[in-house]
Amino acid sequence: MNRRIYIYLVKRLISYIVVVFAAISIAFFLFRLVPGDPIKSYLYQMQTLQGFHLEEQTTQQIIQYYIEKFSLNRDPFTQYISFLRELILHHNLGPSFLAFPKPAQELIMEKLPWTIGLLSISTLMSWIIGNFLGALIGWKRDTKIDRTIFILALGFSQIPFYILGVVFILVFCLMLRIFPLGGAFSPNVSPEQIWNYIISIISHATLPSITLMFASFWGWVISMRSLTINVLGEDYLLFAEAKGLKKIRLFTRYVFRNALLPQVTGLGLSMGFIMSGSVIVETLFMYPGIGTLFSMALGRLDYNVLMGCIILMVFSVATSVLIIDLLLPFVDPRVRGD
Amino acid sequence: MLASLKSKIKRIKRLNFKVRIGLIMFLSLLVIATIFSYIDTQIRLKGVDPTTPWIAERFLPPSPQHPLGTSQNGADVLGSMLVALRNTLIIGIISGTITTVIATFLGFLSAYKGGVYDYIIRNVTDFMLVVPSWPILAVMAAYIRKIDVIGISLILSIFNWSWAARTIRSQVLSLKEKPYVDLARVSGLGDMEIVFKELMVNLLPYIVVSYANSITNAILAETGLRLIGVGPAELPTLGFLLQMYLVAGFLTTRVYVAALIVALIAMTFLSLNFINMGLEEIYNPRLKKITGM
Repeated sequence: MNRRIYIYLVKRLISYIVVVFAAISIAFFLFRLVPGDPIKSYLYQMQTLQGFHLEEQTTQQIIQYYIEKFSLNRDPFTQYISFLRELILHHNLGPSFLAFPKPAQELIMEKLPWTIGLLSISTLMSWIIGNFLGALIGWKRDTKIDRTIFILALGFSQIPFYILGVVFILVFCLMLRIFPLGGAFSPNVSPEQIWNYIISIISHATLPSITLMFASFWGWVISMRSLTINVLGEDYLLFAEAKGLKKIRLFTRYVFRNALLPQVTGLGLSMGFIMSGSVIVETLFMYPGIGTLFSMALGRLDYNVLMGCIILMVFSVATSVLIIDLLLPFVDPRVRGD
Repeated sequence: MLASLKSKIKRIKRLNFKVRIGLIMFLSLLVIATIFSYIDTQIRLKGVDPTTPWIAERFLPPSPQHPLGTSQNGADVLGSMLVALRNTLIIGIISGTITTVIATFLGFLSAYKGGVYDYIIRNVTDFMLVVPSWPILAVMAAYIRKIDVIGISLILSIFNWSWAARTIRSQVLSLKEKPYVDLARVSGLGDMEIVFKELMVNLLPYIVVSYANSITNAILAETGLRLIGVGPAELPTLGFLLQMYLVAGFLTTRVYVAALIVALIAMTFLSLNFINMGLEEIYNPRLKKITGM
């Protein structure tokens, strides 16, 4: 059995490396095929940008350095090799455009904590509450509560979340003025006033977070409900009931736990999408994370930042799928095959 | 087989309630977006494209000439909305069609031919499902400046076919083991004949469901793209208009305009989702049993 697990792990690791590598390569070459050669237009834009806070000479030096480091005046294949070398060995993406002399990777690292914080908390909360509610209405199936919540879930799960975001902004930010709009905290609090700072962060993150939760919450409710109903038909449950176990114990130990396993896989998957899932919501709420950075870079055609964001997104999805696949044999004996 | 087909047609005839409501909504949106928009342009604006900038002063309040006023570049808001609705629906339909054709072809090829075809297509499909395709789509749309309806539909389809292909593949896999396919093969029918005469007919429900799904996904992706400001301005769609009016501050100054756009987008999705849910209920009665609804 050990041997089989080893083979499985090694196979899985190899395919992970292949997928990440292939995705990055495809992204790299795809953008060379796009009409209007991104790199050329990027260099051109940089040359015209010079100036509002930099000497022309400095700009030229940076551009020259960039061209040399990434072999931009050579053929695409050499460029590709240099790109990979810089990315893997030096974690270097080249200068950004949005904050000119600053390297793209620094810009991305600055925004990363906000996105990870916002998205991981929203995803987790949505998962926990959604599963609990789903299991509950599955347990109480065919009652009035079940029907109402299920119909609500069916309806809400079909509304595109960005529409909801717009409505939230309108109602809570502009009409009722309960929540502030834009930024991660208000500019007039400093980290020294620790409580005000935390409250400010929370109040800025609330609406984006609720919007993001809405995007996945009802899906969890629906799937957990049907999983629960499936478990309810199992023989071991009938036996446990016949043993005279308490209802609450039946629910928590026998129903909830068994129905939850597929959902754990789902949680892992949606954790992978935390980088790419937030672009629209962050942009709408002007939240300073990867998503807003990505759409700003789209607007200015900031090639290096875009490449960095895409690599990050591919990496996070592939890695979370890998983690699920590596953990699954330890959690679920059926996958292990013994 | 004929009998089963007949009963299927019967079922479609008394289409369930959800499909009917969805279809009525979708068709009326289409009518508003095409016929009504055409008449409105001809009579009210005397044939001038309502999205033309500087058709009138900027930020005009509502008046008989411009029932919803004008936008920040002096285009007629009502007319623009109708044109945008039309573009959105057309992009959805074209992209849905392309996606379904690609997915059906690949699904059939993969499941029916098997072997190397299956290996390649299955792995590419899995790869496409894992890669976050929406951001890549956004970057491509940002770089390609000149693009028409067909072009954008094509790009949307390229990033959209994997789910549908996967569903169709698994259905073909289970169908091709059925006795009547063996019978057809023994009686000397060619691959093409089997695919079109025996398999396609029985797969039609799944293809229809994935068609409706693909339209929804295409519109969802397109609207999302436009909402973050990506895509050509010459091709206004609902997402583009919403983004433009958000920038113009219509959420505070003219709430009804923003609300109307949001309502149109919501209506589009609602109608498509009604159709989707209804079709799934018709063709997948097991689902009904599981969900109990």
